[in-house]
Amino acid sequence: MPQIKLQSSDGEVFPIDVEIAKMSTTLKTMLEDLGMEDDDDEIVPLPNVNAAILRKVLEWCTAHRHDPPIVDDPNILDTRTNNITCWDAEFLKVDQGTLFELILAANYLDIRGLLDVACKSVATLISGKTPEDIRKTFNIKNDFTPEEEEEIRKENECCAEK
Amino acid sequence: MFAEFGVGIGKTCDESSKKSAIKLRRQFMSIENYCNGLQFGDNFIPKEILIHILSYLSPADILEASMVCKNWFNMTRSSYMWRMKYERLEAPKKAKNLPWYVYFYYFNVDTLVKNTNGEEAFKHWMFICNGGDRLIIEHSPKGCEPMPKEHPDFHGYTSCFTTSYGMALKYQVIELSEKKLLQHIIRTHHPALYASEWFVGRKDCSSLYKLIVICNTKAYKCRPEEIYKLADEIRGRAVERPLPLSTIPHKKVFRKEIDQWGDGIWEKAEILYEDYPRDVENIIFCHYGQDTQFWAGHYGSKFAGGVLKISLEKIDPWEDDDSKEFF
Repeated sequence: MPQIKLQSSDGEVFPIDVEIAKMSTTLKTMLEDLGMEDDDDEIVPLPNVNAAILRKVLEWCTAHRHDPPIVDDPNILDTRTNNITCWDAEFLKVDQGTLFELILAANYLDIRGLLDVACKSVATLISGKTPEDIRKTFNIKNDFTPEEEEEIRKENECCAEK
Repeated sequence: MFAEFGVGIGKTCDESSKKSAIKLRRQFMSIENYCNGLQFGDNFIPKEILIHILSYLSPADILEASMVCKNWFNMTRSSYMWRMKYERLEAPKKAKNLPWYVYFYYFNVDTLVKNTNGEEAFKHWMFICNGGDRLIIEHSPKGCEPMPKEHPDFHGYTSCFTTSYGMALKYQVIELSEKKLLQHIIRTHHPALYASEWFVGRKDCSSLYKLIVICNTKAYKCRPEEIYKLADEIRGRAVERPLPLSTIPHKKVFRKEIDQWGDGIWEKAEILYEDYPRDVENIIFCHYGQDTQFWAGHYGSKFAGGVLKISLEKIDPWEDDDSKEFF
């Protein structure tokens, strides 16, 4: 199986199957545009992704290499709901910093499945919490004036009426 | 309006956040304020990604998230975020440029009809007539195939309304004066009204089922007796007769004659009501059923899982006019 080498921002080189690299739309486009597929010695530098995160990303890609491509089909429930498979839930049991770094890496490499599931995972950290709880969880400052806060609260109440 | 609170996530987002009536205080944005709610430890998360995250939340959770900080407020009030949610959940339907609150309402209110499986007996329902052996609630419907109970329309219930040889006709009225946001959305954007309900007939007996949506205006308010008249005219076995013209001007009717020895499979009645009057004051969800072989007991049509909501497929596009602001 043809392989290519990816180099993380901190210099570590990861030889991987081209098939797995192509799960990243960014890498797929690059390999095709540059015609690099046959050239085993070429190293692709990834200046935005460090070795720890790249290892995680590749772990996810390897586990999901046989997934069908994501299509906008309403009958495929997985892309529609907030469900996260057991494997992914276990995989995403990481600290908040790592989770956001994974999101940034998935976004940069354009790996839609990983981006979706990591975003869902952050959403579960927000779900069911009060604004104050959310601020504490993510260390966000309340930058509203009391008047603004009151106005938003009223507008929200008005909308929530069923 | 909100441009000073950040670069925005593109034209569409800026356009929609300016539509929110809340005028946040103009202030000089320091880098710290600019990044507030976007900075997570060492990572600055672009708004596009945060919007992607927030779009997975429930409507109620999104309202909570809007109160976290200014950046989160602007993102949750952006049409962009709601369109992303709509296109993911309703694919392949295409989201239109509508104010955030239209989408919010669409996702927040599944149905305006209450007690649709008889889970609270006949609470919320008004009877126009209840003849024969009277309408009953069947907990495991007999004489037909099982209900597709995993369908969200049933909210996990397995019961239904079952009719007899006498006409059973009941309804719920949705007063728009009590639903300010819905009223505003109807006046401004005039979305189609969508009504549906599941129904079935017993395999061993023919029956009739009807679903009726009526829109009353100030100029014409139909009285329950008139609904009775409408139903009465189609009663009986002279079913080949077309629907008589009634005195009720604004209505849509779904009608089904169910044959004896049918397959007994639950079907969904659907009504998409587009050309209803914009000045509608109340909406009546009404259904009717009976058996058409006049057998004692409950051999008539059965129904459950009624839905009345707005449809975003046929809706007037956004008019960029601040005078039509809701809030």
